[in-house]
Amino acid sequence: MSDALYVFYILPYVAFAIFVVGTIYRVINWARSAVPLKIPTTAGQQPTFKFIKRTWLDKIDSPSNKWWAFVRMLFEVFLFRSLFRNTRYYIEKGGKNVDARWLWLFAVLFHYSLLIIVLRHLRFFTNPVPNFVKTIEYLDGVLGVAIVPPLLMTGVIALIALAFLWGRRILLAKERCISLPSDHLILFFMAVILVSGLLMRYIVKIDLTYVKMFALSIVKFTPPSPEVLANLHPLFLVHFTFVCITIAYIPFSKVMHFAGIWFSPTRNMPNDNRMRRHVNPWDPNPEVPILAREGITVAGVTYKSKKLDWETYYEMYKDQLDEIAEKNYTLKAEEF
Amino acid sequence: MYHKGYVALGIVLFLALLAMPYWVTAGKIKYEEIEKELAPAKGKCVYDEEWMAKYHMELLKDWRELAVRHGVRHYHTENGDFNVSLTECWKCHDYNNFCAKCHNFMDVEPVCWECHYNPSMNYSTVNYIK
Ligand code: HEC
Ligand code: HEC
Ligand code: HEC
Repeated sequence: MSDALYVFYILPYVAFAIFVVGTIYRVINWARSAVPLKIPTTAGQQPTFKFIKRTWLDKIDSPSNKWWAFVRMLFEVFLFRSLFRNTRYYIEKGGKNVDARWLWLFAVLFHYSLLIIVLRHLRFFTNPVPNFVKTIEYLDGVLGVAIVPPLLMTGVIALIALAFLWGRRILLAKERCISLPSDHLILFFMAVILVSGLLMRYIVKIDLTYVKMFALSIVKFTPPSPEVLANLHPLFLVHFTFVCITIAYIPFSKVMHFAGIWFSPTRNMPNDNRMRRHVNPWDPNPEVPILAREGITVAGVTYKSKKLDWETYYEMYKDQLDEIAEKNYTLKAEEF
Repeated sequence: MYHKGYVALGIVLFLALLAMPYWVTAGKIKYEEIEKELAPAKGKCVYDEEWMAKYHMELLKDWRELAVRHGVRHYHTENGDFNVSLTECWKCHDYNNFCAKCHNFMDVEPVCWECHYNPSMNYSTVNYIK
């Protein structure tokens, strides 16, 4: 029995190996895909004549160099600026916009609570515990200090925010339609981790000393004694297993947005279209355009043309287009 | 691969973040079998050892309720009779080498000592407890 428990000692290493390799693989995969066009989306004033003023907000919104693009990125990563500006998409019957920025609020609360919770967990992985971890824990608990053990607000906030974020996907019709199973899966993982953690802290008391010895043995790469493993509480093992599963699942999941956000072309490109020429990186300065040089291959036949005109297009997709035409649709080239 | 420099920097920062437990302690993480380092205690505890390790904070919380709200000052278990008081613990336990040792290891800082007495404090008036 106690030998079998060593599975839990191996588990975090496997999970982290998958996480690190998977994340680096995906990041490099993204870095290899070219961005052929300059597509920054902006709402601010571009640099132009001296007498047209640009405030610092314009500079963040419409950055003209790498530095301001970096600042915009920081706003995006730390304040979820796109989410803040982009959630008012409900249109009621009267054509009125509905403020849906509560999504931004709960997203911010959830992410920052999670960050603080992760930092607080350093108390299990370090010995002696560094002072900043103690400070974080103290500040986190100042409001709930009369309770034994002190109520840490981030745990509560994360739970409430999670309930909203999941409730939104379950209760709102539009969100329910666009939610994939994977959206629910990651929220389910988060829910299990949060609830089991809160239970252990406030309701089902467990002997934390063994938990800490177990955590230390993981970071020290020294297998724990069978005694330590035998004393780990089942609820802790649930908590721990789900954390490992989540970590291993990250590279395959939407949680990869923590790396992907840095690759958003509309956010990380300076808006300097008029100052600098953007060259398509996978086909720089072609003598013959790629359409004429390599052409497009459809169903094994390669079509080369200087410009993709209607005749070539029709030839490419003849079968499908005819099928559409049979249903009494008129097919013709768009007039410009 | 495009923007090799930025991507490499990003990956390095990512790995550095994961290695956080090591650099916040300057690489000096000490593994301790804390149970073996606690100072031995006298007599028999309120409940058995395993139960106390998990629930002593709950017990103290209940005791506070009992004493302050209900005026119950005596507590009987199969291990004997106890006064419902924080100072009861010091009859058998050392503070620095027992409570504080384990709490430092676990990074627990009970607020109780802002008002309550423990033997690591030097007050002549309460020395009768010792
Ligand atoms: C074997 C280790 C250990 C020993 C010995 C120990 N404690 Fe604790 N104590 C803990 C842990 C772990 C917690 C936090 C539990 C939690 O957060 O659920 C705790 C929490 C507490 C709390 C609640 C305060 C808080 O911030 O959560 C009090 C009060 C407390 N201990 C008092 C004592 C006293 C008094 C003694 C000595 C007689 C003592 N403890 C000995 C491990 C220990
Ligand atoms: C009559 C003596 C006595 C009193 C009073 C007493 N204890 Fe104990 N306690 C013991 C003994 C003996 C042990 C067993 C520890 C050992 O073997 O080292 C113990 C164990 C413990 C443990 C478990 C330590 C571990 O190794 O995990 C905790 C926590 C604890 N006591 C807290 C308290 C608290 C809090 C109080 C005050 C309400 C208290 N005790 C009162 C004698 C006592
Ligand atoms: C703000 C100051 C303060 C703090 C902090 C505090 N207490 Fe008290 N406590 C008191 C006072 C005042 C009494 C009443 C003393 C009495 O009636 O004998 C008391 C009584 C008690 C009693 C019963 C009586 C006795 O002699 O012990 C217990 C048990 C107790 N507190 C436990 C705790 C615990 C455990 C903590 C930490 C989680 C704590 N207290 C934190 C002020 C405080």
